[in-house]
Amino acid sequence: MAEHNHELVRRLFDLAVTAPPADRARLLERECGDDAGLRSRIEAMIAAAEDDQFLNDPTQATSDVAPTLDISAEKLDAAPLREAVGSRIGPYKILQQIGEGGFGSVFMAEQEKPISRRVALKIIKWGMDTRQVVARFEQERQALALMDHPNIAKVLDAGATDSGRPYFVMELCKGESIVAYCDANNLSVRERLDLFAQVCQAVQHAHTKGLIHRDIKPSNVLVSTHDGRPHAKVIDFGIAKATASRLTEKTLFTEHKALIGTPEYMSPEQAEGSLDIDARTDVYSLGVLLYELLTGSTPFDATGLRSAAYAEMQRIIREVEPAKPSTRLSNNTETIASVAAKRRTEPARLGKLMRGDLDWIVMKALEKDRQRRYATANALAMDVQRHLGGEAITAAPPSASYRIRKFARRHRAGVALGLAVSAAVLLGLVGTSVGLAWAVRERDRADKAASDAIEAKGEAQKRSRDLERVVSFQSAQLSGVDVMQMGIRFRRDLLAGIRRAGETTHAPAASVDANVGAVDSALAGVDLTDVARSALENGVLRPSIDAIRVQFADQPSVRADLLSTVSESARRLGLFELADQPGREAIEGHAGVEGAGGAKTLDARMRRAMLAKDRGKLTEAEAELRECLSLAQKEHGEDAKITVDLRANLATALTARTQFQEATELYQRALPWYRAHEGPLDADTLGCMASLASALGNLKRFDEAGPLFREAVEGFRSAFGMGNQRTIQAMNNLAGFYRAKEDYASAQRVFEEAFAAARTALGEDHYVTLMIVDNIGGVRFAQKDPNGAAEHARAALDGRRRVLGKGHPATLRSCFNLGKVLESLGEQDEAISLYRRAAAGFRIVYGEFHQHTIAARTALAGALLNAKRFGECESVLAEELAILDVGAEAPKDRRLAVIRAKGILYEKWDIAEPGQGYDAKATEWKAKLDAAKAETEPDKSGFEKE
Amino acid sequence: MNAAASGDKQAADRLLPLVYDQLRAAAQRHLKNESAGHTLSATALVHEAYCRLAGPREVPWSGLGHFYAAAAESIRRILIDHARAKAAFIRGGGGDGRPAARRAAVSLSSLPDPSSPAESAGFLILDEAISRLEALDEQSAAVVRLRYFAGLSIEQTAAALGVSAPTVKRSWTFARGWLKEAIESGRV
Repeated sequence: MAEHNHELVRRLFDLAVTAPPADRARLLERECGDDAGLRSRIEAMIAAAEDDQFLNDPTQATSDVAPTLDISAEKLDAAPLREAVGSRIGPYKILQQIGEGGFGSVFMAEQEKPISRRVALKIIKWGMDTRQVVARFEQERQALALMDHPNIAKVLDAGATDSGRPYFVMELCKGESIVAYCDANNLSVRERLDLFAQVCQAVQHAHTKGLIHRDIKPSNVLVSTHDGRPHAKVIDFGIAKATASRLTEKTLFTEHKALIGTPEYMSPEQAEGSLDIDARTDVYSLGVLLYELLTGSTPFDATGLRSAAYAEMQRIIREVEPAKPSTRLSNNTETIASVAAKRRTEPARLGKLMRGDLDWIVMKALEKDRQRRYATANALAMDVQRHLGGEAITAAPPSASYRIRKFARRHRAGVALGLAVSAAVLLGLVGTSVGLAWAVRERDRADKAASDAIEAKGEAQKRSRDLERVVSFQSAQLSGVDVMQMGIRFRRDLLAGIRRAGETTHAPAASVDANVGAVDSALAGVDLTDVARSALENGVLRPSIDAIRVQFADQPSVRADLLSTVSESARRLGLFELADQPGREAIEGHAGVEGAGGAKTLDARMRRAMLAKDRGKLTEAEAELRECLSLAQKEHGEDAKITVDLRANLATALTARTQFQEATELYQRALPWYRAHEGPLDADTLGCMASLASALGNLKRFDEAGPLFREAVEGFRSAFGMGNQRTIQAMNNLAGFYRAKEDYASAQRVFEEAFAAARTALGEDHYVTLMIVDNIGGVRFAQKDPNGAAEHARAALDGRRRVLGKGHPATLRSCFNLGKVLESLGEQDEAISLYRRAAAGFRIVYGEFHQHTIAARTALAGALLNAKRFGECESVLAEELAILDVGAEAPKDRRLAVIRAKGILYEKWDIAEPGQGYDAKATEWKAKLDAAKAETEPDKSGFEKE
Repeated sequence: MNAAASGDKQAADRLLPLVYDQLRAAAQRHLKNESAGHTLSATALVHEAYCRLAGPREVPWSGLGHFYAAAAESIRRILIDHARAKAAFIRGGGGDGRPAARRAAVSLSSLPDPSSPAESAGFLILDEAISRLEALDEQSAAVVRLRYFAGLSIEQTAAALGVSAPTVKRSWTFARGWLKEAIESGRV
């Protein structure tokens, strides 16, 4: 029997088996021709496949997917729109259709109850899961209700029509799209900018309420004339999010083609299908809108974008730099005359108007990397207003770093593909680490190119320069990595993965929960921040240090720069050991090139001194910094940056040594220089200001500290935006300052503000948000509001347990805090069990003799004693004493305290249960205490005297 | 699964118990008609599979698909060991048992009864046929292994292999036809 080609067999089988049985014979006859063997084999196979005895379905139960409200697009397309004029949807009577778009149709409708008014009713016509849409809308309803702005159309209600389509009810707005209005009324550039600023302020208002629009485009900004002036209304807030489905190639081209009606306004992160969308997405769309208002066209040609394949469209949005507005205008020679006329100006004047400020404002809003965009809509509006007022704008022409960034970005996608997914993807670091590793690898290629072809030498050198910059850029970015957040993400992904695994296997929910719980427990003993840190160390930093040493062997100055940068990154990540050697090499390298007194040499020494400070070698750090400072004063003078930097860092080292007086003086000398040279909103200036304020606070010079603290917070707020982590941290510190000066009301107010900002920008479950919740609990407690304190402490504990895991130090601190609060409320039993958890956890995390461990044990023993659980108290104390007896580094005063505590315990036990011999034990332990005291200095008891 | 995919042995160890339930369910389903003569109980089978899985291995885990493939492979090996012992017993009885084994193979509806020499012999033939299919069509063979040995549903198989459910369904139908035809026609 001939062996047939397998592909052919497979193809014919699939064809025949799916064909109606009646057609099979004809089909096989046609396909097999005269190969009777093939034909009979296929027929036999089909018969075999239809034998349901042989290997019958091993899983009888077909998956029972819960029915959803999801209605397929085809079905809905086929169904005629039932909602017609005159019909009624819920409490709304449809009056007339006023619009039609990709999403659906908009009607004017009349509401009768509870109040009589006209509204706009938008019915979504595509096949979306109505239940989901409405549920998502419900999530935002509260935030939407808070929105109250003259330039925002209120969203009033949402629901489902009888035919299952989701609908939204909005304030009825008259007007036309902003672009159409401006053109129809020939608004000048200035008038357009004024109107645009209105829109930004409206969007900003929504952002402060935690709402992101996600679909800003001209048709969602309606303009009408009010009192002779144009008045803008932003519509559809809350709708894009409710109706959003994640973009995929499939959804784009099959079901939801029209849904993505406007790729021109889509931010790069939206185009990527990222779920991490924030206010800066709206800033991007506002940038597109501004571009269009100014030039008459969008940055990317609409027809071009729509006709591109999905991947190509993504690429354009993510990678292609659009032409600056002025360039776009001068390129569009055919249309410029009419564009200018609609703006009541001449073509030449319009181009001139655009060049400079407006070009940079638009381009900053359109940055691909959202970190480079305006952080807020407000910042964009401010720059527009600054331009209108003739002031200097904050947007600036691209610098060298801008070029490098673009360079790195261009290659990033390819890089991500080429690299092992392991550490980088696992830890969500694709952008930074991959780029770094890539840059080093790419160096090899650059070198090879140089040796291969002499004429390519210039190119190769340029490449090598670029690479240098990429390395330092990426490395600097790396130092901003939040390892703690990375650890949190790692844990969350792991647990989610296990849950998914359970769901894939259709395991019962209870067993999935149990499994997730078991893994969570197993993770309790693992410091995931440390896991993240060591992944960075081994996966990224170590290889790049090695690569830098080799690759830049013949460029000592570049090598020293890069090593210094990487060392600094390592230090900031807490990788002190790793930071040491490259830091040393950087000093040697720079000293070899520019001598011991060179600014770079001193800078490298300064960083190494700060490393020593971080490692707790405070006197060594101080001495080194003093030496460098005097060298810098001599070599470079008082006004050099290196001198000022050294002074500020010396102040920091002194702060760590609690020498606040001298630290204050040094900060006070450094601050004016930073203000003058780096600007009032520079990170160094603000950092110096906040440090000075905190040093003053420690000196109890509250009157001087307060205004500085507030100025620093304001500065962070306007430089980095309300949602920036630095701003939030600064606010948290300001509140801490108020707390220290016992101004609890102010402390609470600022903590609440910081909390609101953190919740909006970072999310409810971010560790910083949870820290603030914990702090609010502390202030409430200080204000003698134990119930409020308990509520916050519990929320912080629950959140931390969920986000950080039960063994995390912060979770344990929350256990302890909540225990304290509950104890004060008389809920001793729960307090005791919390203390127990805290003590056991601290012991693992910090060791036996750490102050936290000791504090938790003290609290535990004290609470047990007060609860008259003497036996348990006795065993807790006995256990600790046993540990203290064997530990070589056991603190002596603690030993005394525990011995004293035992004496007190037996005394009280005797009072509670007289005649049991506890009086004798009390006497015995008092004698022991005296004996122990004789050996060492006396110290405070573990218990506070009643 | 990320941690498991990275080759983190510890994470893989933690994941194993999760899939253990699934393995046990599959095994119980297949061995539900067990009789007194069985040398392996359902639980024993799974315990053995589990030990094999958890034993030292060098291939890094790369997701659920690999896990199930490994699980299926473990169950298969255990069954083969047992079936070989049983089949040797037949062969010891003299004569060529192959045609009889083929008949037993095509009448297998699920995993073989380990106590039945005939089914064990048939199982060896079937296994051989699956290996032959694998040489021609890896995906169809993978589908058979996951469905037959690990007892995964169409959807689960699709998820494990990273392909669509209709693809799995087509491959499953094809594989059953191919296997039975190949055994019956004496190709295997």
